[in-house]
Amino acid sequence: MTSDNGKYAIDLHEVDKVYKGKVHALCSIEMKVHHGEIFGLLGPNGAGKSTLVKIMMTVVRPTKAKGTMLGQPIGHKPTLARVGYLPEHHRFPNYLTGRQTLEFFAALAKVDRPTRKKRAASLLELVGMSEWGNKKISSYSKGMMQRVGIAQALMNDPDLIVLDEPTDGVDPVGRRDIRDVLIKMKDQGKTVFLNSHLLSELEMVCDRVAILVQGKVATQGTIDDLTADSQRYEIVIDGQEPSWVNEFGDLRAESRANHQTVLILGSTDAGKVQPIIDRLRSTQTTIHSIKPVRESLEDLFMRAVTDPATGKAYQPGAASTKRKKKRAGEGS
Amino acid sequence: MTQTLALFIDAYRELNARKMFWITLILSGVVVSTLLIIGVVDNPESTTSFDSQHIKVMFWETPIPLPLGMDLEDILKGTFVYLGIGVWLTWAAAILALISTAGIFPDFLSAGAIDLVLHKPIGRLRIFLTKYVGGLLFVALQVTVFSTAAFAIVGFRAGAWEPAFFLAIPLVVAFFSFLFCVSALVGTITRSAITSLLVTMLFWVLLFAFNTADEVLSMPRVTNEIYVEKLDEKLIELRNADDANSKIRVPVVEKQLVEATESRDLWRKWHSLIYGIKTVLPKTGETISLLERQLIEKADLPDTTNNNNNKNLPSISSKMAAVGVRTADVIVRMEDIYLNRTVTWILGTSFIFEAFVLSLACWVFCRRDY
Repeated sequence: MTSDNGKYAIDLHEVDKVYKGKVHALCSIEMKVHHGEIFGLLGPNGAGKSTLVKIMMTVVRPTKAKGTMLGQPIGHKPTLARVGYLPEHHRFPNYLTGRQTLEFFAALAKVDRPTRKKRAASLLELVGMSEWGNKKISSYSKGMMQRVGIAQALMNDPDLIVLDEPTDGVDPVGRRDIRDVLIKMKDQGKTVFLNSHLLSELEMVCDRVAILVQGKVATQGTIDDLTADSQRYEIVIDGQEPSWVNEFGDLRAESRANHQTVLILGSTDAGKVQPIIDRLRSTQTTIHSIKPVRESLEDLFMRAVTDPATGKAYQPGAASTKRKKKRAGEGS
Repeated sequence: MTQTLALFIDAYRELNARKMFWITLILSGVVVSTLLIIGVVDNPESTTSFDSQHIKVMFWETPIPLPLGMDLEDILKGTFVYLGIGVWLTWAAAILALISTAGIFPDFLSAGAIDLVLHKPIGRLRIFLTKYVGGLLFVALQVTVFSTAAFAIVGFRAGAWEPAFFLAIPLVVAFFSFLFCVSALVGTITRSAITSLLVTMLFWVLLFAFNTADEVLSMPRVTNEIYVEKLDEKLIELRNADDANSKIRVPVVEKQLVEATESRDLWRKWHSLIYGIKTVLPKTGETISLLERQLIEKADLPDTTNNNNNKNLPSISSKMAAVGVRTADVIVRMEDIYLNRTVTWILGTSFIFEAFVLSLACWVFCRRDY
């Protein structure tokens, strides 16, 4: 599927964006997206997610940007013929029908007429809009617009699909349909770049994620890698914290309100759990549950967007140069 | 080519979806239908050649006599130029077109719409210029339908198949483009259809004001120029005369000449200033009058030079009239001035203005983040 020789579908280096010399929307972004994976970009409001996507799509001009997309420098227009994009809050011309919309945007992506006709029909079918294809966009609901939007992004049979909040306004059935489409695209070897707030949605489909906070990449990697440190066993027992807890190196206890205690073992090794169970059985302690636990994407996200110094979430929005200078002043 | 064609088809669909386009087209049909109902009828009660023929509207004869030397063809051509183009297409329809197209760029640049186009493998400059030309389609289609209908009606009714009718298409489109480029620039900068429309209308009023000032100031300028020439002639005549009465009048005329020269120079200065400003602005009025130059033969028009009514126009003082300054001469010379303004000056400088405004709009469009 990939015709370029690069290892990555997207390989960004030192991407900076300063708006009107005041707001530092993006700060030296380093990000890598492998071919054929579904990549999720997360971040609080104003973190710079859409700005980053728009820079890749040439809608916003970067202050500085190195790196490649599908093997070509960022901003290389001909490469965009191989990219499908659905912007957030997109607005299709309401005088067009769904089918005309697909054909119009496909023509702008240099898709020839017979292919446009054929693909419009098949993609309307794929997103469940074939019966609405000949109706005006102005009569569509938000969910329908999203479905047509996804179809629009696929009209040029892209190698890279960039979707900004694709499930925004879509009902649960529609979300599942969109998820299925994304997985199908991945199975066809296409790369999907998702920008979304719906962490549970992303967790279900993404191979790798990056979290953007105040214009910087706070963390990126596979969900398993990013949550590896948080993987543990939790044993819920009746009664107080046993006195022998300190005898096990990775074990700690947390009391619960209903006379229960949770023993937390900082390991995913099942072998290390067995001596603890033996000890509990020997003291006739009631064991309610034993389960391996891993941090959810939401936990990971919250951890990334929380200032460790204050324990509070970072202020929404990008970092302004004023704020940065202030911080630098505090530092010195 | 696929992309450009797609943008043009989209521009057509956008216009097609606007009610204003169809309303204007229907009204164009009404205006062009006047060419069907206007006619000429003989007046059997006439005793003079002056009112031997009257103009009729449908079946009703009006008391308006057909001007001397004119026939049905001239009447129809005049109706096309003065009513169809001069009043309808370049005033009423142009206002409707500006209202209808003022939203093209603000809508196109709105959040969520522009992203869908900009991320395609097509340059921003090409997108902007194609969209701009697409906006001109409104007027291009209107004037094409109007001119074709007028060409056919005049051809069938008067037997005059005049290809110059189609000159209206590029001229009216050029006229509209001089205004639309301002609309595009303001729409691109402000992304507001209302602001774009208001600024464009103000700009048009400004052009109209300069055009009027040009016409108004050219009258006293030309009158004073002729007055100075006549005084010069008179002075030579008096100096060459042998009689004593003439010798006495020489200092009086010399004084008049000095005053007239001062007055002429003053009017020249102000008129030249307005002319200079007009040079850098688009010339909407003169652009349309190019069509008149082509379609209306001067010989076909009623002769105004011997029209006695003109002699008493207030602009000619008795002092001027005494040395032989005639309103008719002033009108003829003013007409000559306008006719001597070259197509290069009229269209060339207007297109330079349009190119400048468009370059600015392109620069803003290409540099902006959306």
